[in-house]
Amino acid sequence: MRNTILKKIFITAIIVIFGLPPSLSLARNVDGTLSLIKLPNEGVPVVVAKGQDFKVLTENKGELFLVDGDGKKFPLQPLWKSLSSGKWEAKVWLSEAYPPGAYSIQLIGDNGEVDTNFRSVWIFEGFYEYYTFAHISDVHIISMDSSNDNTATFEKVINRVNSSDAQFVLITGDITHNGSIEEMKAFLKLLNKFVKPTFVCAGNHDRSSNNYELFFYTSTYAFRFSKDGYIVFDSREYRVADPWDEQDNVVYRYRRELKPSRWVFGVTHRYEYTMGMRLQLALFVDDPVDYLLYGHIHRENTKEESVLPWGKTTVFVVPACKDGYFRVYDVGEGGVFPRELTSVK
Amino acid sequence: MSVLPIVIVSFVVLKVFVGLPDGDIACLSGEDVDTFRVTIIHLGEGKEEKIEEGTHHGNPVWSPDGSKIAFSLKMGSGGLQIGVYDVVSKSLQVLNSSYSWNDEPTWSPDGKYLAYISCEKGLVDQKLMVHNFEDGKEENWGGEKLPSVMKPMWFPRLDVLNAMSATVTQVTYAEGFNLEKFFEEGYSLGVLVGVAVIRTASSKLSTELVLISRTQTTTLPKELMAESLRFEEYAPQVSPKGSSMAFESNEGGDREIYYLGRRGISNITNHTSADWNPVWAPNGEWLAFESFRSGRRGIYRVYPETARVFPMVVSADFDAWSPTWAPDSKWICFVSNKAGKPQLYIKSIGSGNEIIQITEGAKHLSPQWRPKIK
Repeated sequence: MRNTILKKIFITAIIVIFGLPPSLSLARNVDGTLSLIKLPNEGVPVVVAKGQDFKVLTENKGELFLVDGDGKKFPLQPLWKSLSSGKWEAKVWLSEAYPPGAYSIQLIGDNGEVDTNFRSVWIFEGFYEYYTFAHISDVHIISMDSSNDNTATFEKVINRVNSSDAQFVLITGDITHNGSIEEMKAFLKLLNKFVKPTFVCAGNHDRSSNNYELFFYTSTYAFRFSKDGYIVFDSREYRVADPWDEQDNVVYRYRRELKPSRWVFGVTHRYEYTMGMRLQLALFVDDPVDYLLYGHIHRENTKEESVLPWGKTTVFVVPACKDGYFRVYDVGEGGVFPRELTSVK
Repeated sequence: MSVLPIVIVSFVVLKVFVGLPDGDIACLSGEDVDTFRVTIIHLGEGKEEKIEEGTHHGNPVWSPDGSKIAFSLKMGSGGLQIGVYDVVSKSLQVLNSSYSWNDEPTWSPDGKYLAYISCEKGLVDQKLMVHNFEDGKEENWGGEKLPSVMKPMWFPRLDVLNAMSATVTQVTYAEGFNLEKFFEEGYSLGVLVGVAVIRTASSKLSTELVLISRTQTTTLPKELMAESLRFEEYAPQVSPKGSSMAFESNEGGDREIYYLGRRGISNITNHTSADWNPVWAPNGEWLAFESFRSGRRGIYRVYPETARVFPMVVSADFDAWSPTWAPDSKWICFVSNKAGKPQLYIKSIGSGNEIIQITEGAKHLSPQWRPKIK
């Protein structure tokens, strides 16, 4: 801990002297892993309109701020709650004072330690019934070096998505090729080139140790956008969505909370027949989600694969980003309409 | 064998002074699916014993005499196999199997057979295989009428056959079902209940409860389960006496526990939140189950004959799941994330809200209390 603080003090001094860009300032740990703030982060952001509330999960209590792109800080007045896990949860109400845009979330802990997660809070003026989003999968980052094919292709995809009308981005796993800390760090740096909210989950290539959690904390979460609900869940393991661990607890609750939504989406890395039955019952049988978005197979789904075998959930699979593909979807009252695949190659 | 951490040591001290339960609990411990290993918690000695062979352990289940644990595991680069661990000799036997994915082992009442599901793809091609420990051979049960099956469980006694023979003229079985052959095989080898996965006329999957003998399979008689293709049944649990059964179904709009007893089928957990995973107490009086009726996943018990429900472990701050009963039916062990990472806890049935943590460190999941050693 002392070394980390010293490193951050050193980096702060560098910034004061040389004015380095904000992307290097007091964010996360030196190796890129999450520090004081666990959620929201660059892969699990908050998307919210003025007047709404959101939650922040942290290691310690402290002073919370939103920081805009110019470095202007907006203090927040959170309601802190101690969790039985030892972590802290801050509930934050957004007043009308915050202009729409992308914000970093910053915590100055009671011990003076500072932590910032960039691109983690996105304030929208409001939400419309019609909107669009982009779906990317299977990035397979090996290094930050742009001479690497997968990195260069991902950068092209980022540029195309940034210039598209998509309002947010889903990245459904295999963000790295081997799941190493170095690869995760390289992916995070590339992720921060997006100018839209990015919702990420892990794939089977990202399952090395708990490296994914060190960078993005969780692969199981839910969010709302417009009238719709999105349930992101973890299917990375060899036993896909095993029935013993905690995921079924939250997936059922998310499904229930999002029941009043216009459309509900399942978002994950893969669907397999061997997927845990408890999760299948909750998401595809008892109260089927309307759509399931995934990747993994590096191709589009066939006609036979376009509906889950339980019969009600429509499936959209996007081919691999490393092969240059992504897709934009239009969402409205009539349903979800995938556009033609976009290829950057 | 390694000495358990402070939590278990404290538990042993408590046990001496407060009269906490004795016994052994098998579970999965590890940080993720890759590292899960079947681990035996010896409550009396304050020690734990981890089975190190293989990887990706899952679904541990004790033999009826408490001498062995069957579970699924991965050996090398292949699929999942079934392992049988002898807790006395501390040796592991890995069963030979015809298919690459084998899981959900279940012991016959006399411990001579082990049934499990076996497949290449999962869900739509799962066969019921039975390993005979006397000749060491594996055999496909259920005949050609069994399309795909999951969650098999042996009937501990054959009262169900007696009940069926008493009502033989009043019920309708599946087409092609040979009742005489079913009785013959049932009385000599045993009968299982399982969840068949059926492709309906509209190509959609549905589930049906089925009774299975060596060569015969039938859905439950239509007089009991009319229109069952409209609903998805799951997790059948035969009572310890073999005369009744609990199972889940989404009939009625959400998942509920149903009880099939002398007076037919009834919904015994009726609530707008999901109720699932019924587990019989060894004395056959109570069913533990999980429910989200208080918001988070909690554990309740129900007296099936009256459908009266009592909360056992319920909190707004944490989840509790995977209950398993002590052999005397006076305690349950379960998993909770109360302290963050999922750990095992125990609770007395008769006491208030006190729960006692018995593991710490890596995740501990899927507990199975060792049956009374005969």
